Amino acid sequence: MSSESLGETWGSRVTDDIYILVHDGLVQFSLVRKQHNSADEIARIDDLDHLLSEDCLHMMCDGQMGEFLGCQWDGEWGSVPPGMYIISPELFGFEFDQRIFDPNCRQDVFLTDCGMIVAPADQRQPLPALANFPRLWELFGFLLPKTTRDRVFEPAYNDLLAQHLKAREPRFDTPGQIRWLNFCFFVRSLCLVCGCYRCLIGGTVAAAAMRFLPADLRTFVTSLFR
Amino acid sequence: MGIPETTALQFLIMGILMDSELTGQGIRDVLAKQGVQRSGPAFYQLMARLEDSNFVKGWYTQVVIDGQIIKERRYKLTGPGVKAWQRTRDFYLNIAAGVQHGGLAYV
Repeated sequence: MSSESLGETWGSRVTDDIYILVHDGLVQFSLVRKQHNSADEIARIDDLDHLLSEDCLHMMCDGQMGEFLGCQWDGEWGSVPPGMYIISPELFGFEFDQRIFDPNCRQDVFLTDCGMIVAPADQRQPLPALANFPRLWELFGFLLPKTTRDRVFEPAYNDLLAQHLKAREPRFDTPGQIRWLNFCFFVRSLCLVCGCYRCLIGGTVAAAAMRFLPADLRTFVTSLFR
Repeated sequence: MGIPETTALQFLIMGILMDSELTGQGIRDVLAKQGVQRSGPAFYQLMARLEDSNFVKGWYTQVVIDGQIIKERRYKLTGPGVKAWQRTRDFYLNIAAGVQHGGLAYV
């Protein structure tokens, strides 16, 4: 599937034949035949409730994708306000993992994992207020020069973020716990920036001092800190 | 035989990467087991220097954790890295052999 032809669309595979797509921040439900790569061959379901209706489920489950394409449902694409939705595997009989479906995710998610079905409206959960907070931490990196940011801050920051998400995922889901975790990792990310500055200043000072050293000694010192 | 091009820590990291590629965090975990503690920035600066020396190759892969995309830095040893590691190993083996046979003067 060409992401260019779909604009800001990304999606996730449910089964070999079924994908769920998000377009311009709106959740849109589509059935895609795996063997085709064109956006024209996507069957669209015009309404979330339609997707959850028995007819639709039947159509999806019995694998009659060819008959379904473009003829059963037309009209406007369905949309759901951007936010976080719990994927509910019991709605369909498919084998897949339960995942969080976040329309604010970037396009990079596209086709990286499988198994997403959106829950009915009454099961949808809003995004916790601070859930996107870690994205702000990334901005700290812009206090650093680009080289240091790319070489040192970015990989270390991503490690920190992964630790944060793993810590939050299984056990801590109340707003208070999430807020506390966010605070802890906020402090750690500040320490990370300080650590990056230490590397930066150390490197700059060392480079300045090296200019005054004789060539042989400079080579020796360089070999020590390589 | 000249002085090795790599420091002890670089030698250790390259040895860790000798078997297979690893993420930055994976390398740090192994280092921690060896009793080597490095902060994230210090570690990645070290890795960046190894990359500059063309001893290791680093790249990003994407993983999704809790609905968020995380970029993981992965590293693998390059051909020059393997040779540098072997030269360093041979250097210290020669030294050790020399000591066992009567002193460094005989190396």
